[in-house]
Formats: sequence, C-alpha cells, structure tokens
Amino acid sequence: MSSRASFPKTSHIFSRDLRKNGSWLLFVSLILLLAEPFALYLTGITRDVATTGSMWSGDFDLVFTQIARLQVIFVAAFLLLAVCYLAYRIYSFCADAGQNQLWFSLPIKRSRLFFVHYLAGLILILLPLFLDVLAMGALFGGIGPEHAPLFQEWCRLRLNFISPLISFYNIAILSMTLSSGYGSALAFLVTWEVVLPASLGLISLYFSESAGGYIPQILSPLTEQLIYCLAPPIRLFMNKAPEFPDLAYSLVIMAVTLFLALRAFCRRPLEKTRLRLSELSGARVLAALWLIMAGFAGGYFFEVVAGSKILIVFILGFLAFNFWVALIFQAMTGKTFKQGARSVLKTLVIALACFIAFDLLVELYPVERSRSWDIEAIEIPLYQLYDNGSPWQLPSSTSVKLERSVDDQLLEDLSQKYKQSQRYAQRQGFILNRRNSDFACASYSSHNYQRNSYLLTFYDQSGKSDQGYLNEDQAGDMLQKISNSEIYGDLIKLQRPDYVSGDRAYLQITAKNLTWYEMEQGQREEKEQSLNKVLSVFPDLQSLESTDPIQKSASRHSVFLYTYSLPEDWSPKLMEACEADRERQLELNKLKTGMETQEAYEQAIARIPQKHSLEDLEDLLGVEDYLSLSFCRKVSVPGLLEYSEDDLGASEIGQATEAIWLYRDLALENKVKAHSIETLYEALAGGKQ
Amino acid sequence: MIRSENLTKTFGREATALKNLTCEIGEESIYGLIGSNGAGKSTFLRLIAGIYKPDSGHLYYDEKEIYGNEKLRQKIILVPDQPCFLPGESLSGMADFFSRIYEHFSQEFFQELCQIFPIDLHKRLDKMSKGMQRQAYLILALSSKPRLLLLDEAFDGLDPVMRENLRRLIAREVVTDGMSCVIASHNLRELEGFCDHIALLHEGKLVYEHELESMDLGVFKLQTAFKQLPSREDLATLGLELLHYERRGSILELVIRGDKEEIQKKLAADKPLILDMLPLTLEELFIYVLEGKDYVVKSLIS
Repeated sequence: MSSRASFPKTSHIFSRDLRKNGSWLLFVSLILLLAEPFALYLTGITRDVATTGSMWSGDFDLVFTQIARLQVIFVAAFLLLAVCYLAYRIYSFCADAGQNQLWFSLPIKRSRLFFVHYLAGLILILLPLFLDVLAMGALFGGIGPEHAPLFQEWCRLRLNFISPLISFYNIAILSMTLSSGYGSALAFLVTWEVVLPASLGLISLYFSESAGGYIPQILSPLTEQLIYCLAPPIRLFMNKAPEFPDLAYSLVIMAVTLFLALRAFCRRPLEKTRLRLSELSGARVLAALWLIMAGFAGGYFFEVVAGSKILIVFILGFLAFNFWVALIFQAMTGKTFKQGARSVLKTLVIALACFIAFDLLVELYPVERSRSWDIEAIEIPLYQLYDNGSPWQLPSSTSVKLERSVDDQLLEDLSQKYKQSQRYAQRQGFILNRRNSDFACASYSSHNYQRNSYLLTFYDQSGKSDQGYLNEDQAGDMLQKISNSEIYGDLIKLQRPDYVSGDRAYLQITAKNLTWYEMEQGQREEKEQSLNKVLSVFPDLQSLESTDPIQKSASRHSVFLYTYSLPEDWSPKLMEACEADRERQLELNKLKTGMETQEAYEQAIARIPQKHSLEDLEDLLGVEDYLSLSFCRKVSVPGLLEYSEDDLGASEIGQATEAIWLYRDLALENKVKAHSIETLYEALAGGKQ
Repeated sequence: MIRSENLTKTFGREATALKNLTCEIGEESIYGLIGSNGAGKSTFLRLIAGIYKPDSGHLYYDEKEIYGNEKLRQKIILVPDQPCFLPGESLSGMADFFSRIYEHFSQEFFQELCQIFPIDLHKRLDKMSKGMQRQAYLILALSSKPRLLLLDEAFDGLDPVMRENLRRLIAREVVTDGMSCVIASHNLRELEGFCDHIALLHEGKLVYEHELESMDLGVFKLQTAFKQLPSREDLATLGLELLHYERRGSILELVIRGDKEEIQKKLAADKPLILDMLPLTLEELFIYVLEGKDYVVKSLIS
C-alpha cells in the first residue's frame, strides 16, 4: 500500500484523537483564558476596577507585567501537568494488552501510527496557546496600538513556553512507550523529571564545592535544560532574553526525546506488555548510570540531612536511593527480586570502581595544573578583616587583591600554599580519602557567610581565574602573612583604605520599607508625590539623567525611585566629604566593637552627640518617612584594592549608614535648605571642616 | 499461502511457545489448529497476524516475510480470543474505523452480517458480554474481506445457532471469495466436519498435520453383524490389527489398522450379515492415529 493510500487511514486516526480529546482542549483553553482575570485578582487590580470602574485606569504596563509573571508560575505548572496527562490519554493503548494488539495489528506502519497520534497531541497542545494569544491580541487591539510591544512580549512569553511543553510531552510519551502501565510510566516520568535532575543538581553542587572545573559546568545546564527544559521561560521570568544555548538545548532535548520515543514505539514488543528497557540499545549502561546517579544523590541528601560529611552516612544514602531506583527498574522490567538484588549489587560494584577512578583522577588534575599555572594575583575576601560598618549586616564582598608586582615574595608563598591546600582539600574532600569534615564544613559555611572559610580567587597572567575554598586553619598562615605584610597589613589594620579615588558617584532616592505588594496597592502615586517634594527641594535633579526606572529596581523592602548619575566633578566633593567624616566613622567603629545586639548598638549611637534626629531631616526635606536619600560610590585603590560600596547609605539600618548621617549632620549643622545639588555638595564638602 | 520454517517463539528464558514449527497453509482452505491450553495456538496465530516477531525461523505469506510488513496486514485479520475495541466505541463506530483502515471493507456485507448476528449497532461494545463482543469482532473481521482470517477460539461464548451461522459464513467466504481461514481451538468437536486441514499442536510442536479428505491413514472404522458374533481373539486370528472392539447388541463396531481391501476380504470370509465402512470422527482419528499421545487427545476431548 502506498503512503498516499494510507493517508486517509491515518487522517481518520488523527481526527479521532482530536475529537476524543476535545474535552481536554476545552478545559485547558478555558483555564488559560481564565488565568488572566485570576492573575488580575491576585495582583489586586480588582480594587482598581472597583474604585475606578476600569482595570486599565492604572499603569497598564505594570499590571500587565504582573499578570505575565504570575501566569508563568501558575499556568506553567498547570500546563506541564496537563500535557503529561494528554500524552497518557493519547498513548493510553500502550498500557493495555488488548488495545496494543488492536492497534499494532492494523495495516499501518508503526512510525506512521506514532506520528499521527503525536501530531494530534501536538496540535492539541498548541491550540490553547494560540487561542490565548489570539484572545490577548483582541484585548490589546481594543486597548490601543501603543501597547503593541507589550503584546509582543506576551507572545514571546507564550511561544517560549512551547519548547518545554513539547519536551514534557515527548518525555511522557517515552514513558508510555517504554512501560506496560500507568504505574511504571509514572515511575519513569518521576525518575526522569525529579530523580534525575535532583541527582544531577546535587552532583553538580557537590563537585562545584569540591573541585570546581568542568563537571558543574556541564551538569548545571544539564539539570536545568536537559531535564526541565524550562530555561527559556525562566529567563523570561527573570526579565532576561532567552539565550541561544538555551534554545539550542531545548531543541536538542525535543529532538532526542522524540527520537527515543519513536524508537521505543517502533521496537515495542507486544508479546510482553511490560516495560522492556532491555530492548533499547545501551539500556544497561543507561540503567547503571541512573542507579549510580541516584546513589550519589541519596548519599549527598543523607549527608545534608545528617548535617555532617561522614562516609558511612553517604554510603547509607547511596544504598537507599540506589535500592529505590533499582526497585523502580525492577517494577518496570518485571524482574524478580533476586534479579533486582543482583542488579543493585552490580551497580554498587560499578559505582565503587567509578569512585576509585574518579578519586585517582581528581588527585592528578590540580597537581598537573598547578605546575603549568603561574599565579599572578590572588584576591582574598576581607569580610573577616574588614567590618562593613554594621554588626547585623552581612559582610560585603570586599576583597584585597594581592599582586605579584607589589609583593612578589608574599605572592609566591601564598601560591605554594594554595597548591598545597588544593591537594589537601581534594584528598580530604572526596569520598574514599575522606578522613574529616574540615573541607566540607568549610565549603558549607562559606555559603552561610560564616567566618571560617575563604573563597580565594587566583589569577594568572592572562587574567584567567580559578576559585578555591580554604577553611580557617588552612588559610591561617596565608592570612597571617597578609596581616604581617607591610603594604597590605596597614591597609587591613586601618579597616578602610587610605587611598581612595572616586570613580563614579550616584544619588539614589529610595523609598524604604515598602514591599512590592504595597507598591501594587497603589502607593506608587503617593511615593511619586514624595518624590516631587524632593524634586522641589532639589530642582536641578530633574535635569539629571535618570538611570534606573522605577519598575526594575524594586526589591522587597525598598524601591529605588530614581538613581541619578552625578556629574564626575562632583565625585571628589563627595569623597572629600567622606574623608572629612573618617574620624567620626572611626569613632563609630570603636563603639561597635564588641557589640552583639542591635539594641546595644543603638544605645551606643545614642551616646554620640546629636543635635537632631532623622525625623528632623525628613521634616527638613519635607518628605514622607519612607523616603530616603542615599549616595552610592565606587571606590578603588588601583592595583591594590577593588571594592564597591554600592549601598553607602541605603541599608536597612538607615540610621547607621554613612551618607544619610553625613548628610543629615551636615545639612542640619549648616541649616542647609538645599536648593540645588551644587549647594548640597558644597554643604557636604565643607560641613565638617 | 502461509509457510512457516523452523518457527520458534519464546517468552522469557523458560517459556517456549513454539519450537521449530514448520508447516504450510494453502489457499482457500479452512485450517484447524488443535491443541490444549498453552500448546502455542494463539502464539502461532499472532505470529501469522504479524503482531509477534519470531525469535528464529521464518514465516511467509505468499513468500513475503510477514512481520513488519504492514501491507500484508491488509490481508490478514485476527479475531482474538478476547476481542478488544477502541474505548467507548459502538459497533457502528468500529465499523467506520475499520472501513477507513481496511481497503476492502464491505458495508453491504457488514449490513448482512448484522442481520445474521443481531447486535445493537449503537451500544458501547465494552459494555457487552464476551459472546456479543466476539460476534461483533467477527462481523468487523469478515466485513473487512480479509484473504486470511485467523480465528482464536472463535466459537467460545457463541450459542449453537450462532456457531452454525459462523461456520456457514466462513465456508461461504472460502468458496465464493477464496478466503482462507485458520481456526484455533482447544476443543476437537468444534472443528468436526468443518476443517479441510487439521493440525495438532502440542507443547509448541506440530505433532500432526493432514488434509482430511485425502487422508489415507490405514485406520478404518467398520460396523458389522454376524450370526454368531466373533470375539476379539477370533478376529485377531484372522490376522487383523484390532484397535477398537465394541459390541452393541448384535452389532460390532471395529477400528482396524491395515489395508482396506484386505480387511474387507478377511471379514467377508466369515459371511457377515452387515459390513459397512464408516468415516472416522476427528476424535477417533486422533485416538487411533496418534498412538502414544493419547493424553493429548484426551485433554482435547475432555
């Protein structure tokens, strides 16, 4: 029979699939269309509707952005589940022996049979999305052409979700074609969608802490994209444009999963309607790989739960997860318990061999590299040595960069130390040679900003860098040497650079203590009124270029209304003001020493002679209490120190931050009624002198 | 039409359904496949239908390998022992489906069959009894006008009238349309007087295969009467290899192995009052032909 002759047969099956799943289509389309008002309700827009009678009376762009974001979360989760359900419905005959026999005895080529069902499902998946886009198009058309870019954005959001949906669809089909029933298909799906990414993620995390290098670089994208395929929509959600590698990954995943599903379908033996993983070439390797990964994940998970890096805990976790996955395989392949146990044993032996091999390999790797790698500079975090000004604030990422040109001997000593410590770390850090928890604890604590670990960055001549964690013991000598160094020691002891040069200065007007929710509830207008008050005090602010629009800089606790990039010639004035304030800062720092609570700190602050409170300043400026001004600056000591204080005054403990204090004191002492930026800076520069 | 060469099919390591099966099924024939449960009948039919893939050996339809050849599946339809339909479909829905899939589906014949097998066209098939489902599938299969119809325990669940109807229909299709039919059954009596070929499958092997009409097995059934009935020993002294001896009043029923004319000559010497040659039933055939395998036959008859 020619393909032309078989077309009517398959077209009938195609239309039948569409017809039989019409209810699914209707349901999903309805949910998608209803998601808009639901999102509106969630965003609180309904209040606007109630008060103004029109939901578009407010800031349409803002409202729309909110809807889009919420839709990404809720609708995405719903759609992914719905797509898996649809795949199971369409390929439900795979789960029934009689249906299997009926379908596969028809005079239709298996590949054709696969694709006709596949295409029907694909159309069903895409239709609701396009219907939704059409509905939104009609809505936008009614609102006005000025919102066209936003509509494009909406379309992009929807279209970018197609690839993960298709990938999920493919994987669900693959699970059905490989399985005998819904149970084993679900087990496969969960293994693919949850166990495998979790394993990859954990292994990636494990190696990123331990060794760095290529493994996490490979595994991290795999975790995100190979399995979940959600990178494009996630990027959109994060207000980033999808990158080419993401899309390429998605396409590859779609193609590979489709190929696997087709292959499994065409080679599906009907005599046993149970899962025949063994029918696929390389299935044993795949199964062993999964078992090992599950074991790794389990071991790591147990260690995390136990809170310590102990080999026996790791092994227990490894065994538990390994056994669980082996049981799933057993259920899917219909093996006996004895066979299952034998496969677990085999996997354990393979895993052990892998551990040993890996342990040996990573032992060789850094040694080899260190020989050919000349360290030219080392960047060391200073958060233990340099206090950023608040005992309750997390240390900033200030660091000292040691360069060979400044102190060759010191750098050489540290380089040797680094090489030794790297070897030591890896011997201690990996599975077989793990004798204590020093290394691992150091790795953990660095994430929690505890002060017993250091993330060092090593640079070579070409500027390439490599990072490594050291714990306090390992780094003790190193840091001692830095402290004892003539140049760097002074720098550190001063807790503040002696040599600063202003790169750039900014003025930020910040509405503090506002949550995103409050902003949505309509306080934006009030804030803008406050801003206008500020602008009335500093009229020339309006002539400055606003660099940060309001929507994009909002955080949970504060909203940067506007950030003004100040003219460069004003930066030195600000720096001068900072310098003038240094003595006062030292006094503050002394007071802070040894204080453990905010209360004690506030009491100490209260002892500093003050003429006025913050409220006075706010009165002076005539702004609301949630509005503050802050100056930001980036300072550097070329060749020695690079750090930025991007939040010189707008921390959560506003009273303790520099700029606002400085400004307040200066402004009040001089009774400044600042009418311009110029006069403000004049006041700042000359206030303390 | 169908030729199998050393066909072997196993399920798992230990369960071998067919072992080196070699046979031929000719055109326009009704081929009876007899075997007890687990003999491999259904497996053989599924292999012919191209549903299963042979582990080894070959299976040809008109010298073309069956498995993976979807064109051949246009010509071969299997009516399984447990028919399965598309979920929620009625007979009319299934007929619509089959008519689009099978090129030679005949609506007229479908209507005719619906008269013979009265089934509600619009009732969901999965809600019907096993017998009704079987009838429905038979209607669909016959309407599709296959060249080879495979029936797996087709008479199960059918009442005697329907069985007879089905037999007639199949016979008609074989005669008028040149259809062939392979019918598998574990019940010997179901195939009595219906098949022109018969094969006995036991433990995956073809134990016996023969064309019934041209059968010269050397075993004969006779009905005879004498003035004085001879005993078993008397007959043995005549040099007859007596397989069965049964006295019914003044009538003797004998099954004797040997040359037909010689048997008649020897018995005629004793001047019998009656001497009739009777046809062997399938049951008797298997009992007397398959010496040493009577356990197989007993299971089929029981």
